[in-house]
Amino acid sequence: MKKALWYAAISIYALFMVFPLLWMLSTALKPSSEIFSLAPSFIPDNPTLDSFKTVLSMGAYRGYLMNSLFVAMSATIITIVLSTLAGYGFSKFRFKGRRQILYLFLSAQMIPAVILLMPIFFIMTNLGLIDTYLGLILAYVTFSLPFATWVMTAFFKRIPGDLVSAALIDGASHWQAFRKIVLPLAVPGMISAGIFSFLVAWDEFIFTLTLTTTEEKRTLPYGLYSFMGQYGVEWNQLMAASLIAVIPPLIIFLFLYKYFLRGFTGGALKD
Amino acid sequence: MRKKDNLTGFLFILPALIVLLTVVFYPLLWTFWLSFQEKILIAPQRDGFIGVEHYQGIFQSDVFWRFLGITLIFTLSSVAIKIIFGLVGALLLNKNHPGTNVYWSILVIPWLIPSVVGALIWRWMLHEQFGIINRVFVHLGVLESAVPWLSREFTALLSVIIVDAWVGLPFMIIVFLAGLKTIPSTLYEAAKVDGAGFFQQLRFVTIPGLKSVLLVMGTLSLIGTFNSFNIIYAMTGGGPVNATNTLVIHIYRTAFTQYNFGLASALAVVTFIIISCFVIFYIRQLDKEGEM
Repeated sequence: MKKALWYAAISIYALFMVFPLLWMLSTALKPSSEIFSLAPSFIPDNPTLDSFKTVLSMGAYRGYLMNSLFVAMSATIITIVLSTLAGYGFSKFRFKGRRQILYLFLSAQMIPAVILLMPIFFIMTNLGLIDTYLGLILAYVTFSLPFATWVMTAFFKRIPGDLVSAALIDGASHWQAFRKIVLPLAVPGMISAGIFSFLVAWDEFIFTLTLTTTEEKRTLPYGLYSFMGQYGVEWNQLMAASLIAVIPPLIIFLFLYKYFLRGFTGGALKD
Repeated sequence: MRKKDNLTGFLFILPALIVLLTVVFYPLLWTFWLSFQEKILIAPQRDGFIGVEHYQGIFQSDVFWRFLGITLIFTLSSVAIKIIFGLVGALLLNKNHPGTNVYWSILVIPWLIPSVVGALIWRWMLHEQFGIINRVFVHLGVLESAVPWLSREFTALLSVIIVDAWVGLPFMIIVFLAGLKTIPSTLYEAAKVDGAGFFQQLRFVTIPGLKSVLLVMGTLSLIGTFNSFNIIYAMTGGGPVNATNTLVIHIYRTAFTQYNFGLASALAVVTFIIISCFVIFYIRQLDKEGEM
C-alpha cells in the first residue's frame, strides 16, 4: 500500500517535470495542420519528420548550431586548463593571500552578467571583438571559470599529497610532478568541470544577445529566440529546432554523468 | 623551500587570476565609474561626470521600487518552490524501489535544457489559442475560457516564476538527494524507536541533517534566481506593462534599448550592493536558525 502510494506520488511528480518535453516532441512531430487543431492529440495523428528536415535545411539554423558547438567547446577547453591549474594551486599550496584570492574567485561567481555588461560591451568594442567568436569565448569563460576552479580545488583536496611529496624528494620539479602524477589522477575532476563549462556555455544568452550583431555569429539560444520572431507561427518547426538544441547536453550527460555527479556534488557540498 | 613553494602555488593560479581580473573585476570597477557619468550612447555630446545624480534619481523614482518589489516576489517565490519541491523530489527518490533510477533520470532531464529553450516550450504551452494548458484547463472546467497567460500582469509573473522553478528544480533535487544519502540511517531508526512519525522525522532528523546543504544551496539559488535573465527575457521581455521587469531585465533594457549606459550602471551598482547584502543577511539568518 505504502509502495503504491510512492509510485503514484513520484509518477505525478515526474509527469509534471517531463511533460513540457514530451509536448515539445509531440509538437515537433506534427504537421502544421495539426498544430492549429482545436482538439490536439498527444500522439500525432500523422507523425512526420518534416519539421526537423525543414529546420536542418535552413542555413541560419545550422550556423547557430555550429557556432554554439565551436564557442562552447573552446570555452570549455580554456576553462578546464585554467581551472585545473588554479585548483591545484589552491588545494596543495599555502601561499600568502591564498584565502583572499579564493574569496575573489567565489565572489566572481555571484556577480550577475548584466552588471558587467556595459563595460564589457565597451571593452569588446574598443578591441574590435564585437561579433567575433573570441569575444564570446572570453565572455563565456567568465561564467564557468570560478565554479570550475571551485570544483577542481575540492577535487584535488581528495588526492593525497604524499604522492607529490615523494616525487619532489626524488628530484622532480613541481611542474613535472603536476604533469606526470597529478594530472592523470585529475581526469575525472577535469571531466566534471568540463561538462559544467559546456552546459553553461550552451545555455548562455545575454552575451550573445549583446556582443553579436549579425546572424553569422549568433549562438543557438539567441538564434532560437530570433527564430520565434521570424517563424513564430510555425511552432512545430520551432519545437523541432529546440529539440535538436537539447541533444548535445543530453548525450554528454548520459555518457559522463557519473563523473559529473562525483565532481559536482563534491564541489557544491565540501566546505 | 617554503618561499619557493609560495611562488609555485601562486604561479599555478596566476593564469586563471589574470582572466578573472580582466573580465570580471576590471569591468566591475568600470561599472562603478560609469555610474557617476552621464553616458547615453545616442547622445554623446552630453557625456560627462555628474556625481551621484543617477543614484538620487533611482531612489526617488517609483519605478525602481516597483521593479525591486517584482524582483523580490519573483526571487522569493521561485526559491521557495525550488527548495520545497526539491526536498519532496529528493525524499521521493531516496528509496530503493524498482524503477527509482528511471525516475531519477526523468526528474533530472529538464535541467539539461537550455533555459531559453525551456522558455520557448512554455510559451508554446501557454499560448492563448493553441496552448495545451488552456485546452486542458478549459476541457476540465477549471477555466471557463482561455487565459492569455503572458499578456496579463498577474499571470505573466506567475508564469515566469513557475518556469524558473521548473528549470531550477532538478539541480536542487540532485544536491538534496546527495545530502540525504549522508544522513546515517541509524538516526531514522532511533527516531522510529522513539515513535516519531514521518513529519517528526522530517523535522528532527532530515532537516537538521541537511542544514549545511540547505544553507549552501539556498544561498546559491537565491543569488542565481535574483540574477535570472534568460527565462524572463525570452518569455515576456519584462512585460506586459513591466509586470515581469526585474532589476536585471530593467538594467538590460536601460542599457540596450534606451542606450543609457550611465543610468544602467548605477542600477547595476545598486543591484550589486543588494545582492551582497542579501547574501550576508541570508547566511546569518540561517546560521541563527541552525543554532537554535
